[in-house]
Amino acid sequence: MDISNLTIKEARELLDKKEISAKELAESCLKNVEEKNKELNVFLEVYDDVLKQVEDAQKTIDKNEARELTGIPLAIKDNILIKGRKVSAASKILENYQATYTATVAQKLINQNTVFIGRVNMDEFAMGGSTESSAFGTTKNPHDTERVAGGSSGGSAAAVASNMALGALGSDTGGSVREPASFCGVVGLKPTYGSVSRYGLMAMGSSLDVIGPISKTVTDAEIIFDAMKGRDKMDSTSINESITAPKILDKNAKIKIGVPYHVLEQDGISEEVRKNFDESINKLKELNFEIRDIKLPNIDKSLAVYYIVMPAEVSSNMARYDGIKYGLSVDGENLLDVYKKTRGDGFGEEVRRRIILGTYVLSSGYYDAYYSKAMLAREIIRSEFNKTFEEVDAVLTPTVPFPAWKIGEKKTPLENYMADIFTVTANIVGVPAISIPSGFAKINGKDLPLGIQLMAPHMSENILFEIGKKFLNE
Amino acid sequence: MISKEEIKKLADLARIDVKDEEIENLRGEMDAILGYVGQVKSVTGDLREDVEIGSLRNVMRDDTDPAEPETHSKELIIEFPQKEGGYLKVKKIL
Repeated sequence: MDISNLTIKEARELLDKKEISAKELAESCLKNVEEKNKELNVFLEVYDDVLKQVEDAQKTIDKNEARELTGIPLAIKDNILIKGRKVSAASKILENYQATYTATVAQKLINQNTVFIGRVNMDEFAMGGSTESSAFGTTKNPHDTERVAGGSSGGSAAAVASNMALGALGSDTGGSVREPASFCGVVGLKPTYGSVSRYGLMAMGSSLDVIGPISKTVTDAEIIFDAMKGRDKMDSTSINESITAPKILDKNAKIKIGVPYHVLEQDGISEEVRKNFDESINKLKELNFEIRDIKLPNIDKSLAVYYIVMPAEVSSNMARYDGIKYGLSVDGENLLDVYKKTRGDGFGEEVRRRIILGTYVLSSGYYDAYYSKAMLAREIIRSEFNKTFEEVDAVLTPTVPFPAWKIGEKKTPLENYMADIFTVTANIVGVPAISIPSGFAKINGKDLPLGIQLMAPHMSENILFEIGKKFLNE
Repeated sequence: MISKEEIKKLADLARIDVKDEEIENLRGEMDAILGYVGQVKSVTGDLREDVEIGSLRNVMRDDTDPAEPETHSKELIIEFPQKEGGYLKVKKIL
């Protein structure tokens, strides 16, 4: 039996019944890493103390003190800090950086004796949708190695899809958990903004960022989310259910799912995605969900809002990488020269572009035309969503308008950004969203995974889990 | 189209060395991106006042209970690119 393909829930039962050991489970994943990592380029580092972590986990299990994730092998995105371990955000500027503290989510999982196998590839500083901007090479899609695994959490999704880990942590600023999950045929959850602490997550767009799980099933995503969530005094934007209550579903009423059909009329949505989306709607109807045609008049402007707000926040957040305090430092004639050379050499092309774009939209003369308009539009879209959630319990769209593209195929930045058209809205509004595998597109003889995305009101991940489990027959 | 000088000024403000050929590419790319994101100007709609969820708020706390001196110094100093003794070393500033 290959135990690396177990779900977290199944592995938990077998571990607790002592039918498998934590060591066997970790070794089955490590075997896949050894066999496939060279080709897929998923792990940037496999930790050298996995067996020690496994021993600690097994002791906890043997004392019958195991919790949900004790002994479960997970992969961690290379932008989440664990003290004493290397963490690089897949950037040359942090290539040899060792974390000086531990992220709250990582600490919560370590406290459960979760086994972290290693850190996985991503777009540099999470800026991209394909890992093609990683300074350490592109992660390949396990379903078709000529294609991208998606991004920015491409390593996290590919690790789960190729059984190198039972689950993974990613981060999602505009779709970075959901898009790679969709491309790799796994589940990706972007929790409510603030429901999971950002302390120890390298900041990209601080008003948008959230850490989320990637897993094989919705049940597993819920398990990881439950282990990570909660207010944290180290992150003043974090919230819990006492601040914002989840929407409670009426058990006797049909769950109402709204579909903004009008957004599917725009250009650039592949035929396969549209067909699969219609089939998914039919499946949901058969599962006794009520489908409603809804209008979100400004949802199609979300991408424009996102590509103003995000670079603005990026340009501020990236200021800390200056060659002085930590990371790469390139010598120069004077202090200013050190800054400029370090940042010019250390940051990749996409990161430099976003910093410059952010500097532009925040600069005097353009602030009013771009940033301030984007903030107003953000409030309007947020308000449209709140109104919509009075009528329906969830909103459904495809996750990405097309399946995974060929490595190197997309030539311009704007072409790349179009992949985010359905995912950025949830980050703009702050609501939770999940990508669920919904089938495949057959292209050149290969089956490429597709996903559907559900969004729910703030703190109402429960609705996403409810619908998702029924959809996947869990 | 956004000028070469403008890109150069932005790169200077952002403290990034950008090579000449990249400046040329950036002009075209920034133009395309700004052309696209410019559609935010056409967003119109009602704002409702009753939204508490998801909206921003200030979080205040008393500035008390600092960590003991040197609690974190060791790890931080290890990461300094240039150091002398326990100090961060930088280029002459004045």
